[in-house]
Amino acid sequence: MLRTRVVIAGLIVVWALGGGLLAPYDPQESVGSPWQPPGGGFVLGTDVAGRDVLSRLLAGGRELTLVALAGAAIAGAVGVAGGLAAGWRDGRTSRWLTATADLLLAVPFLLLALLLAVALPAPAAVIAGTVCGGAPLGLRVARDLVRQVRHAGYVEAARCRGERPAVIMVREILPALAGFAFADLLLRFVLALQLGAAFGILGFGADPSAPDWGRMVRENLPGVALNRWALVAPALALTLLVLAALPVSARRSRPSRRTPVRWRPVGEQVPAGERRSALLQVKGLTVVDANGRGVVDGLGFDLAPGEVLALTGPSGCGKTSAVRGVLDVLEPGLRRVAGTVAWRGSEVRPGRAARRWRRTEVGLLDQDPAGTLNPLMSVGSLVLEGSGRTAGEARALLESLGLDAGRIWDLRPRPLSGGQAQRVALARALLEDPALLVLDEPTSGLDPQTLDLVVRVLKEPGRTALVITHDEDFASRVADRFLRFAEPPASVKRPAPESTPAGAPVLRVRELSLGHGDRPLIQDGELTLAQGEFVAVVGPSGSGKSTLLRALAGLRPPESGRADFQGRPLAWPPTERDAGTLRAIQFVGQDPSDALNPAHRIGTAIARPGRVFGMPVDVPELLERVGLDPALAGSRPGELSGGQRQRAALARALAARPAVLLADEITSALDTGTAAGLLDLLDGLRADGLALLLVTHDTAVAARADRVLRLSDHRLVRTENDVHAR
Amino acid sequence: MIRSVPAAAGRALALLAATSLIVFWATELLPSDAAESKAAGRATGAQLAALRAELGLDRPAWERYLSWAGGLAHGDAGTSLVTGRPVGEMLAERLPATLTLAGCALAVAVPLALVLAWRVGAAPHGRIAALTAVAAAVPQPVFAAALVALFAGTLPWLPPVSLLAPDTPPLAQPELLVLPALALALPSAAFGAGMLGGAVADTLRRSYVRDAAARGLPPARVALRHVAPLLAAPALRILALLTGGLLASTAVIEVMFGYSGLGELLVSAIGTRDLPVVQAVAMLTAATVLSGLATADVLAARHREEPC
Amino acid sequence: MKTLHVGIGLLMLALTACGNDGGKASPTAGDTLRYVAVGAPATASHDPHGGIGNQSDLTRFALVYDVLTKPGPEGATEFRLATAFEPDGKLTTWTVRLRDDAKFTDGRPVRAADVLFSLRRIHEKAAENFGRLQMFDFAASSVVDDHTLKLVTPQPYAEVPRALESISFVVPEGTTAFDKPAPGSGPYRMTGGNAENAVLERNEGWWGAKPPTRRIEIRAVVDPQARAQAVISGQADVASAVSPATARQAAQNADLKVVHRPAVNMYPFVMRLDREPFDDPRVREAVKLAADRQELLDKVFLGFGQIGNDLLTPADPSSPKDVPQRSRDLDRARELLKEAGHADGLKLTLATTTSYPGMDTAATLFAEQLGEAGIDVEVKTEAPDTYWTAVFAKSDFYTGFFGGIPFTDVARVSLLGDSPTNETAWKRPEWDKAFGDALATEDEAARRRILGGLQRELRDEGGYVVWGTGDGLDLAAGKVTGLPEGPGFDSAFIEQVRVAAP
Repeated sequence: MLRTRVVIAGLIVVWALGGGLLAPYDPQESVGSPWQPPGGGFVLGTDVAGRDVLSRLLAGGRELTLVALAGAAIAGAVGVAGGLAAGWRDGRTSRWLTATADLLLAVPFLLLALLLAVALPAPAAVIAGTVCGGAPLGLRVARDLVRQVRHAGYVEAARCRGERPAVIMVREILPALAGFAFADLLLRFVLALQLGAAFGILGFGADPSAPDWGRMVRENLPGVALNRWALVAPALALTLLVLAALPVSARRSRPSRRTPVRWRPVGEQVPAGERRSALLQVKGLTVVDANGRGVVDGLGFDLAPGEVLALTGPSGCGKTSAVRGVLDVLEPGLRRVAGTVAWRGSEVRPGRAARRWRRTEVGLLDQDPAGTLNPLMSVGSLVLEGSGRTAGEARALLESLGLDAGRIWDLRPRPLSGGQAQRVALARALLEDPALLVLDEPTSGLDPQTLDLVVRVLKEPGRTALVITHDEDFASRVADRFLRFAEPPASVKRPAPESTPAGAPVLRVRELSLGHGDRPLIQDGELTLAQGEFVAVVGPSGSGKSTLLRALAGLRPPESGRADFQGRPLAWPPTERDAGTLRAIQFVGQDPSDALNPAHRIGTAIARPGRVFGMPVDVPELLERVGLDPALAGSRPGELSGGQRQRAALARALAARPAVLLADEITSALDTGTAAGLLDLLDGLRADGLALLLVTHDTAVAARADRVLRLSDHRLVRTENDVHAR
Repeated sequence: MIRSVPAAAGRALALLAATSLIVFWATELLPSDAAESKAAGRATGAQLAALRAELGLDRPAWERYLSWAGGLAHGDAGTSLVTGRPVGEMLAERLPATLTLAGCALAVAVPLALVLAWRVGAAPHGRIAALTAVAAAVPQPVFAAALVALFAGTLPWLPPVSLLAPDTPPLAQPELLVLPALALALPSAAFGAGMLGGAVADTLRRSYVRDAAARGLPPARVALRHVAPLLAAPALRILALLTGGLLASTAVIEVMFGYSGLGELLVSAIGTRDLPVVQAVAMLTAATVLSGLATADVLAARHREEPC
Repeated sequence: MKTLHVGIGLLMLALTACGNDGGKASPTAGDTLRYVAVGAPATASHDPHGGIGNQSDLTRFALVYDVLTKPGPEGATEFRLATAFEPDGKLTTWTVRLRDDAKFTDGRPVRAADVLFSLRRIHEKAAENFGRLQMFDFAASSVVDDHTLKLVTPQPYAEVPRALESISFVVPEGTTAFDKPAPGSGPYRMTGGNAENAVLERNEGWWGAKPPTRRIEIRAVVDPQARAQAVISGQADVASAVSPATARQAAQNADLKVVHRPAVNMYPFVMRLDREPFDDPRVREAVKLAADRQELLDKVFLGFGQIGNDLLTPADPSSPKDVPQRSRDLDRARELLKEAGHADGLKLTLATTTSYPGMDTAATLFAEQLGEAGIDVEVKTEAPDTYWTAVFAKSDFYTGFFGGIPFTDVARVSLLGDSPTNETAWKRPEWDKAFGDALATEDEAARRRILGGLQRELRDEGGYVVWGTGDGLDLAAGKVTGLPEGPGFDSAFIEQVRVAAP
């Protein structure tokens, strides 16, 4: 479908460029009387000067198309280059560029275009007009996109490798913008075409006898009553040419290379007790993706009142889609093609009925609860939205969740800490006392305190709930029954933390202070990391754990204090560090979604440190070490699941053969089995001397560390390996 | 980023001042001048020089710029070089017509753009998105000619030209407004929808919007409470650009329909090099666009989620 | 999709509903003439003495102000405010007698002082109106009494009544402000609207024959299509200067009529005699012989006009009638080119613009025709805004324009040695002298004979290729009668136009 459209588009462009060769007459020669209607050898009649319309139509797109292409290319390039410069760093350059763009947008385009048309020859005027009219818009959009990606994991990884801004822009940011740049190019092409046509229509141009669709429209307007085709044909041709640009711009997401999921729920453990009338009954639920491949295949289950059902399985197995299918809130691109959902015995049809059902009966807590809070609404209105409860009840509920309702009631979510925000979302889910509570991956999104609250809620008598989780331990703690989307992973190896003999200290941090101006995050942090040692940093969300890691990686300078690597002081920014230090300290960020550049293949990304530091990298071997199929080297990040991406990012860090690995929540997106495998791998590397500084809130992960440091009240506090001491 | 209203207003004023510079010098660079245009090539050098002196064109450009900008700051747009009438008066004569036309066009274009943007945002590669892109891409004169052919030719419902009766407000002749307003509004709406569609798609992907739908809130509420506030800034920014574009398009449409408005004046004033008129119309458009952009910036700053 | 349709429907409703309350001022038919004229808003002016850029303004001035004389039938001069012109023996001092019953709309009588004031003001604005009254010495001219004035010309000038035709719009003495209409003494007075969209009502105190129509609305519209559509759709009664295609289309419509005004549009190709290769008379003749005049006329004006014989003012009464028609002769043209040393061809650039409909087509076709004679021509279209200052009277070879003005005017602006824009560099002292002699000849027939000879010389040796003249085409509703059909300024005098009641 897409391919045929591209072929048609290509044909139109070829016609526009080369159609003149097929013209039956000389397009410039007057061969008949003016505005003769079709007939007598003139398929489309004649034009204002008695020339053959068909011949002119065939020949009239060439210059227009070429000029429009040139204009689009230049305007697109200027816009993207300006956007890169303006978005890379906030500051004077950015302000000036933005102001210039605004200025160009403010000067009436018609005036500008007319001035250009008067002042320049026609092709140059079209190009200049496209730049003036198109580049500012492109610049603004590109700038915003650059701002979004400049803190992406892959950009930070490049900065940590000490790569220069220019290199990062060309290698990392530009490819990531390619999709936008291409769409932008097409928009500019359309603008340039319009402009070229408009100039033709307004009568600017060097040679009036040369065929040009725009000029044909103008010339033949007066004769529309005598031969309408002289006007209609070029107008249609212009429209077609524009249309040709469209299918190409309709970018489709690449079909995922993930093998279609065929998991069936196994091991449904029906408690021996009575299977009374089920509250929720799901039968034959089938969900397919845009390509018609099955994501959930014939799922069926019952949920009795007062029952907590856990849906477990590794990441990417379709458990979230299954539940979303039940609730009729599937992600765009997924469709429920079969199955019924019944509530208290009567069917809930998708659409309005399902919506009413969700509103009145279901409480939902998303994977990322803080993200579900509209940043523009106050806590009070967030909790009460769509609810019939009173403010008093809501306040009481907030208080019961350990929040100071009086203080935060009128606040917007932004000043709240991560844990507070999660609890606000929890309160919203619980306020109506829903008959069915749905929790999506509570262990990956919630901080430990909130998670405890959730456990408490689930333990309440009579609570009916669906819990989606990849954490088998958690599931067994809260659920009455399980619905496993796969065999449970082979019993996770949990070697007791070996007391690795602490080697020489590699990283030493002294009196390090971090913060935003007057808001300190960490004060006088002290930390020593020895060769082969595994130190975990825990603490509430927002306490500065990640900031500490990022500072050590060189991504942000400290307010004061120093850090030594192998006895030599670390410099900021990373470009000031020598190659050996850069190579030896590797950082893996928190967010798997942007850890890898969407434009680069996995293999390229993993090989990059080798190119930068000039060392050989065995990509397949690294992939295998992190538990990925070596064949994935040819894939792009968009085709991988979150967990796979996280492992690929780790492989990229390991490719530099670091002495210190700074890892930020690298297991949070992984299912238990994969996470354990990864930690095992790191244990193996520790044996070779790798020092590991890992930020986590997962108690199981922290339990494997040699030492656990806790960040609280802006201080790094030593704990006696007591990760449960909260 | 700009957070406060005074800062945004200050920036807009600074940009307006810069625009006045650009507008003045760009028009200044045009070949030929009002004196030559008046003489139409039939005057001797001495006559031409006298005419220039009479029109004040013999003064240095910066001096003319200062007196023009100074006058503008006091609300005096100067005197037309061609007709000798106060520019303010010429504009005031035509402003109501253009405002009415642009207002009617915007009244159609804005809701239509929002509806279309919604559809485009929900299905960026769907049929409506494609139709929108086509409508935005067809050259405006072609679009207008097609409308006329359809609604004034094939279906003789509406007049093909819009000649306003003298001394009558344009709103008193609504049938004259329909075709030009639609010819202006439909491509603008498609253009705006194309630009806003991305923002809509982006907003619809936000987790609190999806969560609101998942919680079963009525779609209208989701749209108003969760989507609209976020779209306010981009929508306003696009509205500002749309208005600017619309005012520019009035030139073509007004000429085609014989509708006496500002756009028609601008085109013919460029032709006669009546710079005070050109500059006044340009500054009026620029002020509209800039104030819109500034408002959008303030809104955007208030709604910015992440601290920066 | 459905919501979209409903949405659009609602919006249309809202749009058509906005402002239904205003009642439409629709005067009874037969009472009002709605005239749509050529005019751009930026040049619409209330000043009748400068450069009148808009036909809409000219038409309005011709209704609101009295003129001394106007063009009459057959090239004669019709007296309006003037009743007699009496020259002295040397033809340098003219006594002009004015009618005594003309009054301005503010009640004041029209006096000789008002006339002289107006003429002087026109002269002061020479740079804008092509120095139209340059033949007069206004310092020496004077008022004799309230209804008599004395006009002085430095050189003998026999055509004073003609020189004053049409443009001598009279305003009260001492009028300085022209940002609003000044009081006039013409058949109509302005009662509403503005310069681009004027409402005129009959001046019941006018001295002349009572105009049949009570009210005339004159509107300036730039676009010829829009003008034509206005009449076709019934929004106007008369549209001036429509395109030939419209005229051909309207010929099939019984409700419409087309008024042809001969020799209104002329797009001559202009060659400069002082530049190569046009300094060689053989090249000029070859170019003239290469023109296929009938094809140009058929394709540029769709046949609405007459083919030209390289005579610049074929409608002028002095134009010679006995000159054989020059027709196409490619062999002779090639021969002449060979004689002139261009045997291996000649490369030329022909400039044109889009100011007047068909100018660019004419140039394109002519380039093709010249190609058949072995002259390779590249056509260059210039923007209409700058054409008249950058190309006109400067380029070697371009497309010019004449709008049916009398020969003496053409000679004065373009052909005399000291003309401000002698575009062909036609500098022949003996020709200039003969022109002066002609103007010193009181006998009209003798004068015309001399002038005719001058035109013949210009035709044979000058730099103009006049391939044809296009009719001025006005489109009118069938009920309109009495539209002027004369060339030039005559078309502005529409006070006797009648609109039949339905």
